[in-house]
Amino acid sequence: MPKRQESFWVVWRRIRKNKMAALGAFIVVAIVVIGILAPFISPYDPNAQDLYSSLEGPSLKHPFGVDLYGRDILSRVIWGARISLSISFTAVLISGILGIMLGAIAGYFEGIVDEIIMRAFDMLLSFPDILLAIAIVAILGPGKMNLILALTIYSLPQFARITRGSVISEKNNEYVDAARLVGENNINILFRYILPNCISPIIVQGTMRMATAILVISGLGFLGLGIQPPTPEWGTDLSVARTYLRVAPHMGIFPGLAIFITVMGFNFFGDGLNDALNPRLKDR
Amino acid sequence: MKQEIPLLKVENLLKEFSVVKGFWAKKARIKAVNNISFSIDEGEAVGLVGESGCGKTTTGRMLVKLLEPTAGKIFFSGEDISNLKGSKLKTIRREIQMVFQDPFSSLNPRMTVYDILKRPLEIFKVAKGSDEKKQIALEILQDVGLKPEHLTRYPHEFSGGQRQRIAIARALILKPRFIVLDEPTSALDVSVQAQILNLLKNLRKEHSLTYLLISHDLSVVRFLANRIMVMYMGKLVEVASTSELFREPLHPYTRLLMGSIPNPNPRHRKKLKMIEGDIPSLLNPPPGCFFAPRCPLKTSECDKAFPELREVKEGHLAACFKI
Repeated sequence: MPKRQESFWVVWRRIRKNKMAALGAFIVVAIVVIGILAPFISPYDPNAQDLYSSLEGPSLKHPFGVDLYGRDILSRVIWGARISLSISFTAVLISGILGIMLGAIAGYFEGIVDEIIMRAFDMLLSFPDILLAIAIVAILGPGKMNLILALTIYSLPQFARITRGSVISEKNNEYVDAARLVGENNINILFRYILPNCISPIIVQGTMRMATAILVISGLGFLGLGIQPPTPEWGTDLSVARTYLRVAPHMGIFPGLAIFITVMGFNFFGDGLNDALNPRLKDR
Repeated sequence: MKQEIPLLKVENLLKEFSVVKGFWAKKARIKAVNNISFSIDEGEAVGLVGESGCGKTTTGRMLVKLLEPTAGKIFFSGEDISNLKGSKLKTIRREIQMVFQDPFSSLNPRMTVYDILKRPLEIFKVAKGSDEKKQIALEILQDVGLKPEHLTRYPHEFSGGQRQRIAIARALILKPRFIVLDEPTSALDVSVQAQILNLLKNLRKEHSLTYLLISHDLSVVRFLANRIMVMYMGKLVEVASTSELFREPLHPYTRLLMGSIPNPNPRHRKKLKMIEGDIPSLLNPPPGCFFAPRCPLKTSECDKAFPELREVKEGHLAACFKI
């Protein structure tokens, strides 16, 4: 099958045609913009307390209501986006770069190098998803840096596996042999020829990983192992809201919705990208 | 005997692959290319024909140093290149190029034609400035019948025939002396095949090239090659000049292959002769001649030993007891 150069606009057009993907793309863009612009769009300081209005429900003044300490929940949700996105993006970026390198090397050279790298990752993969992150944070203690580290280790094997798989199938193309015949060395063949052709599944994986990372951050926050209060973080706030669910349900509903919508957005977007970048599903 | 050194000389070339049969079974080894020897003189165009899986592509890949031979020697203008590594291998790469079978897989979809053509020039530091590189690329593009404006396009913007022209341009740009053509037309539409074959014929004259043409199609080989080697299950079974081979094929396998060429002339309508049976498994080859199980001339002698390639007539070699 002839391969095509996937231009940005072609992919964009296909995403727009797919309703779920378009919704996902919209959510992702919106959350990212909210996270970046948090200092300018949040109506209040997320940590400013107004104890007189403690546990007050949604109103015009506080659209999402007020929490136990009288902090504006809308502002906390907005700042929470910034925290979640910055941590998950950093972790996905680092694990992406490392995972792609290691996976590419494993797939390209195969043999003993492949065995060593992939068996090490198999060990990491043998832990149930979130348990590994919990274990790492439990050992190192909570905190932003440790959270990034835990998420990086947790995402690394996924990137490596995806990359390894596509490198192995891509390197059987005759253009790789042709490159060798004109004297290209292994490093150039791998990074200039093979890897650029493997980028689609990696991008999809990255988007999906953002969703899981955000979920793990809130999960750890909920368990008290993630971002510590008073820093606004959705999972941490949700865990505080648990106690007051009957008196002030808005305390839990809005951070919960934020998690739900963000994770769903990234997943829809990732699914849509997968379809849009997959040449076999082109005309759907 | 010839005085000068042949451009390419192959001695007892052997390539074994291991095949894993099941988890517990021991690794079996098959001989994809089984002790073949031949030589190609400068300026020749030699055809290598045989059924799929007979080892012709493996042979070609060993000659261009994409595969390491298990045993045997390859000499390129007198120099032993069978085990070259590193910078020496790189030097020899310049002289030996290959055109691949599938132009849809042999061009990197993310590189423009210019990127594809300029990389060899950069790697071998042939051209200095970007003007000179562009000049060389444009010349070679013209040689293969493409237009200057094609230089900045991506492979997917071209048809199969045009893509194969790009692949030929890439093979030619370093001015090699020897080119292995691995089924250069079999992935193309019939109407385009003739164009590519004519192009290859003209390029050989203009650039004084030496070809090894790998094909399963006897008519393709007849058009381009002046000498033909017939391969069967990793062995050479007959070698002769094209005219001689088509006038008088000696080996029963070659004769049956000839019988399978369709004749376009309706007055010469004939029933196509079929070769009985399938190729025996390379995992478990017949004890004697590999062709014996399918051969119409078979006698008991044929099951005992493999007939060696011998000169039956002057310049005409065949591996058969019955000639």
